[in-house]
Amino acid sequence: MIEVQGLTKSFRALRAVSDLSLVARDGEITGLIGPNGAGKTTTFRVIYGLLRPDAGAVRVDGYDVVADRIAAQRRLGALPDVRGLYPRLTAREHIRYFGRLQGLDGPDLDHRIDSLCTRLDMTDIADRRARGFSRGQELKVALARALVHQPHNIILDEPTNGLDVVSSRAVRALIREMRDAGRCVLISSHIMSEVSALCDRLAIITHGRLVAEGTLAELRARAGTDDLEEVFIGTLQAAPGEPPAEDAA
Amino acid sequence: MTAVADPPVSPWWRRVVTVLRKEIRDHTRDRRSLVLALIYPLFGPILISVLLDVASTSFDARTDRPVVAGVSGYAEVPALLDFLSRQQIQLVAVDDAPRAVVRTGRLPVVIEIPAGAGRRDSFTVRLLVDSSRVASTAAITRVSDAIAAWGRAVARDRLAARGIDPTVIEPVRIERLSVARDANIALFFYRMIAPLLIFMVFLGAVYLAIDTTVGERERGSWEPLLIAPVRRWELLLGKAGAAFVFSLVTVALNLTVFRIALGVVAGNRPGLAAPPELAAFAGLFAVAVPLIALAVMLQITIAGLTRSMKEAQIYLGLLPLLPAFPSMLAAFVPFAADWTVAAVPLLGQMMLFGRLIDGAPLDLGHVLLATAATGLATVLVFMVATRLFERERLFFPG
Repeated sequence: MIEVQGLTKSFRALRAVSDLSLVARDGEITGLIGPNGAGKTTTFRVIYGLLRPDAGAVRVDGYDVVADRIAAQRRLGALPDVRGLYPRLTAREHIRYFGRLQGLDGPDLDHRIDSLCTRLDMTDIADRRARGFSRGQELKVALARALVHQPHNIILDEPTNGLDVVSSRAVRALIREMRDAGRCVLISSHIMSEVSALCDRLAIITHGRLVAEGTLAELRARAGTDDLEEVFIGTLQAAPGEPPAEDAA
Repeated sequence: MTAVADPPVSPWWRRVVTVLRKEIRDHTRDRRSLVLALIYPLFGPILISVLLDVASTSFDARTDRPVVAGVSGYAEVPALLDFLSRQQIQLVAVDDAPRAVVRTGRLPVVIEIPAGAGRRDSFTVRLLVDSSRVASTAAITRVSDAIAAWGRAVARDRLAARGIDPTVIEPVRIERLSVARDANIALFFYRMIAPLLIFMVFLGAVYLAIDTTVGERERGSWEPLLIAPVRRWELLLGKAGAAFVFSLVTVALNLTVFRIALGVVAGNRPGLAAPPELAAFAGLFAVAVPLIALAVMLQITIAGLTRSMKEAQIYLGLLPLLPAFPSMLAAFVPFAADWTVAAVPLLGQMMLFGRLIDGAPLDLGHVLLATAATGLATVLVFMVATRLFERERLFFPG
């Protein structure tokens, strides 16, 4: 479970996230959605343990991401928006590197790598160096890298961005499977159909603040429409006006 | 996919080794890293060896090596020319434009004998030389010395014919004896090993230091790496360890090529002093090890603080120049072997390098002090770097 309580984070005079609270529960897929610059990436980076909150607290399975960063990170698998591959390493070497950093090794790690390559339909690129990979291929490697230690909490930033239809479907099936296994999944996506098809709960943020939160049914009922895009737009328009907070991170 | 237990927590050193292995694997596939580590170390030894070979030819004034000299006024003093020929000086008649012959380098020296010189008791010969041509120095000296010797021989004969002891006009004779270890130019070139070695220490892993720090940021790979449960000092140690291994290889290669190339040159020129012994080269490598550790830690730290790979290349390109100046100076004026010098990181190693190359004995206390001082400096830089690597602005400078 991921708990964010009263999170505030600024970059010099720029307040990127302001008093944000949300909970991503085990056995659920929680969607964090918002317009560009709403503070999603900053929120994720605080959860990852990369940025220190100015105020508030973030816990992963009860571990504070500042005071107990390593323990929290061991419970976390993340797909950041920038995939950041090493051009001279193969897909398999990427996954092995991160598996070893997570404490895995030997036949167990090899088995996990093979299993992920098969599951993500990337056996054809497993032993190719990453230079020249398509965006979809990069995403598959980054996803496998994030999941190799089978984390209990998974954060996925735009998890199907750049994938073809078949691969997108496979990734969605994988996300649902992780949810069904009792894991906590927190995703960010701009694709409303994907959000609608995947998420059990949604948190909508704008200008670094949470403006709506609930199950899809609750949000639809509140907005009086079944069209999630209309729910999203309507929620943003109803949000209290503030000077736009540029997301610096 | 089913929920599983957390993987076991691995010891810190396994994470360090994982990062180190990854960086070495990654950079052995990188052309730029390999060129710096494996090709650049060849240049210094080859350059010094070629220069030594050229210089040894130019300054070699041994009388058993033939030299060629031009003569203007060839028929004037046959006895002088006979004498010079017996001194292994090959003479060539030069009747037209003798100055141009020297200026263009066709001959190192031309002897101008004035008309009617053979009929006079005393005459002046003029040596046409081009003093800007270092390569002509040996020939000029040989010819000049031989003419002077002939003059002394003629004077002695004339005095003897008059019943006078020839030593009357030669109360003082000069005999040169160099007290340098092997009495030749090679020692100067051997002293150039130290500054070039220090340059290699600061060059071998420079691209790796840049690519594994600011390069991670430019590539966007810092973020996934920092999400992994690895402490910053472990990452730093793994990356510095990889750079250390690259620099070790560079320095070992550099010293090996130095020993081989200088050995070949000295072997082909019997008059040259032999290069330092293999044991001295092993000593140079051992003394360089703590310096390599300090160099890579400085490089990783500086590269991590820069905003871009280009900026890092500028700063790390300048870094080797700092030790290069004192080390070049030390090649001409070796540091005194004292405790103060030994206690200063870098200077201590320079002093030890100088003594190893000169074949002088090392004081174990100096070695330990220099190693400890440089090791301590490395630890201090590492501690500072660890604090810097904890700052979020290092990874997300926006």
